[in-house]
Amino acid sequence: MKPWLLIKNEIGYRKVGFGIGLACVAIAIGSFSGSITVLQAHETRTEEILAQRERETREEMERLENDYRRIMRNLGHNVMILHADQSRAALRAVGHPDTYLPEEYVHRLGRGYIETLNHLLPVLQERTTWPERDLDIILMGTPGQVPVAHLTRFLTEDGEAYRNPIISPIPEGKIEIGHAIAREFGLRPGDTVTFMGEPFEIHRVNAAQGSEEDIMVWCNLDVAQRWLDRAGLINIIFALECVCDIDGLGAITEEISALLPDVQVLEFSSRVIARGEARQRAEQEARRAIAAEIAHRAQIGDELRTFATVLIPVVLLASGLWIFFLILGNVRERESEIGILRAIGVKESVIAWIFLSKALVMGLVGAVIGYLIGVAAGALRGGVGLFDTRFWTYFNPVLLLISLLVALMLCALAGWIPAMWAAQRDPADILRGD
Amino acid sequence: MTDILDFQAISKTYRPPGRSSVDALDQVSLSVPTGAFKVVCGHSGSGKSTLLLSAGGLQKPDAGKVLVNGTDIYRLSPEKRARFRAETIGFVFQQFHLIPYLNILENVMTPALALVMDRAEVEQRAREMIEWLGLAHRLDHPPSELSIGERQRVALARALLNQPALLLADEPTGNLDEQNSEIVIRHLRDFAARGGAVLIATHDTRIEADEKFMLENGRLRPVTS
Ligand SMILES: Nc1ncnc2c1ncn2[C@@H]1O[C@H](COP(=O)(O)OP(=O)(O)O)[C@@H](O)[C@H]1O
Ligand SMILES: [Mg+2]
Repeated sequence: MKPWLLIKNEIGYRKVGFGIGLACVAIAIGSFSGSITVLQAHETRTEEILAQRERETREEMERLENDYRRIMRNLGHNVMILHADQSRAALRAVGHPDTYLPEEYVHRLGRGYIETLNHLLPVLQERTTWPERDLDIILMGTPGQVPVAHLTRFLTEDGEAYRNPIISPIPEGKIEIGHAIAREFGLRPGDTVTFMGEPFEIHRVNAAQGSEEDIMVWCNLDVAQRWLDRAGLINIIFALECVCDIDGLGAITEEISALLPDVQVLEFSSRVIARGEARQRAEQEARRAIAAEIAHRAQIGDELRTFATVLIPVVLLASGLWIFFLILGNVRERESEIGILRAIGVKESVIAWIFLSKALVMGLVGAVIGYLIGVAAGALRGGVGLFDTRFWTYFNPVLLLISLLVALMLCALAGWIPAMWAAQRDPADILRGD
Repeated sequence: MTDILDFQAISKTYRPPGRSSVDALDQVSLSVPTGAFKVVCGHSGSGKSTLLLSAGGLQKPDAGKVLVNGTDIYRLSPEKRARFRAETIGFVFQQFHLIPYLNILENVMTPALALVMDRAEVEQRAREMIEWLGLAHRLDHPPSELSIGERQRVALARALLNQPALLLADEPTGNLDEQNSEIVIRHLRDFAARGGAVLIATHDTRIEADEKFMLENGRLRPVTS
C-alpha cells in the first residue's frame, strides 16, 4: 500500500475542498499566464496595426503624388495662352474657353526658341455630355507635352518627344476619369466603358478633389477633337514653369505674339503651391497620426504591464493564503487519520508528504486549467480572435512550464507549514479520546 | 513466560501551562507476558489512556521504563520507535479512527504504509483477518456503511494485520452494545490464546480477564475477585 492511494482517494472524497483549491490555483496561474499573453498579443497587434497604418499612409501619399501631377497638368502653369477674342467673362461663365486655336500653334511655339518657355501642354477642354451615361462632364483632351526645341537636353535624339515627360499622353484606347464619375457608376481602373459608341479602358481614377476635376474625363487630344467635332483645334496652351515672373508677363506676351498674332496670354494664380502644401500637411498629419497611435498603444502596453505587476503578486499572495488555510483546514479535518497513522507506525515525514503532495497535485492540475483559461482569455483580450490562426500560437510550452513551476512553488510554500504541522501533531493528544 | 510488555515504575504528570498539574500515572508497574489477557479498569480520567499510550510508545513518561519485547522503546529514535511500533504493537481505540475514504479492505491494509511488504501477501492476510472477524461480505464498503460494531471489528483487523506481539485496546467496547462487545472481546481473547499479549483499558468492570487492575488517581492496584 502506498501513500498515493490515500492522496488520490482523499481528493475524491473531499471534492469540494479540492475544487476550491484548484480554482484558487487556476485563478492565480490564469492571471499570471493571462497577463503575459495579453502583453504578447498586445505587442503583436501593435506591430500589425502600425504596419497597416504605414501601408495606408504610403498609399495615401502615392495618391497625393498622382493628384499633384494631375494638378500640375491642369492648373500648375504659370500662364495660359488663349485666342485673342476669348472673353474673360465667358471663360468664367462657361468654365472653359469657347474660342479655339489651331493645334498647329503649339508646335509653332515649340519651334520658336522662346527662351522663357519650358513646358507646353495643348488642351482641348469642353463641357459635354456622356451620352451613354447621360451625364454632364468636362472632357479634357491632350496629346501630352509638346517638345520645346531649345530644350534639346530633355528630348529624344530626333527632337520629337521628351525622354521623361512630366506629363505623359494618355495611352491609346484609354481614358482617365474623375472621382465623382467613378463613384456614380462604380467604375474602377481596368473597367471598360463605352463613350460615344467607342470602347475605352479606364486607365486611372483620380482622387477626389472637391472641384470640377471630379467630373472630368481625360483622353487623348485626337479623341477629344473627334468627339467634340473640333478637328485640328485646341482651346488652351498651358505654358508650365515659364521662366518669367508676373511683372515680366508683358515681355513673354510680346515674344509669343510675335509668333502667334491672334492670342492673348493670361497669368493665373497657382493653386499648385497651395495643393503642394496641403499634400505636405496631409503627410505630416499621417505621420502625426502614426506617432499618436504608437504612443497610444505604448501607453496601453504600459498600463497593462503596470496592472500585471500589481495584479500578479496580489493574486499569487491571496491564493497562496487561501491554499494555506485550505490545507490547514484539511489537516484539522483529518486529525483522527493522522493519529491512527502515527499509531500504526507511519513516519512523520510520510504524514507531511501526504499533505504536501495534495497541495502539489492541486498546484499541477490547477496550473494546467489556469494556463488554458488564462492564455485563451489573454489572447482574446489582446485582440486575437478565437478563429484567428495565431490564437493557438499563444499556447506555448515554455509558458506552460513556467506556469507549472510557479504553481508548484506557490503550493509548496502554502502547503509547507500545514504539512509540517500535521507531521508534528502529537498523536497522544488525538488518540487519548475524551 | 517472557514478558511482552514490562512497565517499570512509570510516572506521568501533565503540566498544562497556567493550570494545575495532573498526576495521570504515579509509579505504575505492570507486566503482560505472552498469551496474557489483562484488563485495567478505572473511571474516566483515572489515567487509563495515558497508560496505554505510554505502553505503545506514543507518550513518553516522565519517569520509569517501558520495555516491549525487551526493548526500552523510549530510548529509540522517533523513527525507529515508529518502525518498532509498526512491527510489534497493535492499537484499538474507542473511536475506531477508520479512514473514511478507504474501503474496509484498504483500511485493514493501512499498516502496510509503515513497512515494506509484499502487496499480494498483505492483501491476502487482510482478507483472512476480515473473514475471521466475519466481515468478508463488506470488503469494498466504506466505513460509513458499516454498523458501529462492525467498525470496531475492522479496527481490530487493522490492529492485527502486522501480527503484533502486543495488542493495546483503549475502551474497545466503549461505544458498543453488549452483543458487539462480546464479539470484540471474544476475538481479543482468541488473539491472546494464540500467543499474543493483550492489555485492555476500560471502565466496564464486567470484562473477565486473567488479571485485573484498578487504576485510581494514577495509582494501580490489583483487583482480587
Ligand atoms: N494533555 C493533557 N493535559 C492536561 N491534562 C491531561 C492531558 N491529558 C490527560 N490529562 C488528564 O490526565 C488525567 C488522565 O487522563 P486519561 O489518561 O485520558 O484518563 P482516562 O483515559 O482514564 O479517561 C485526566 O485527569 C485528564 O484530565
Ligand atoms: Mg481514556
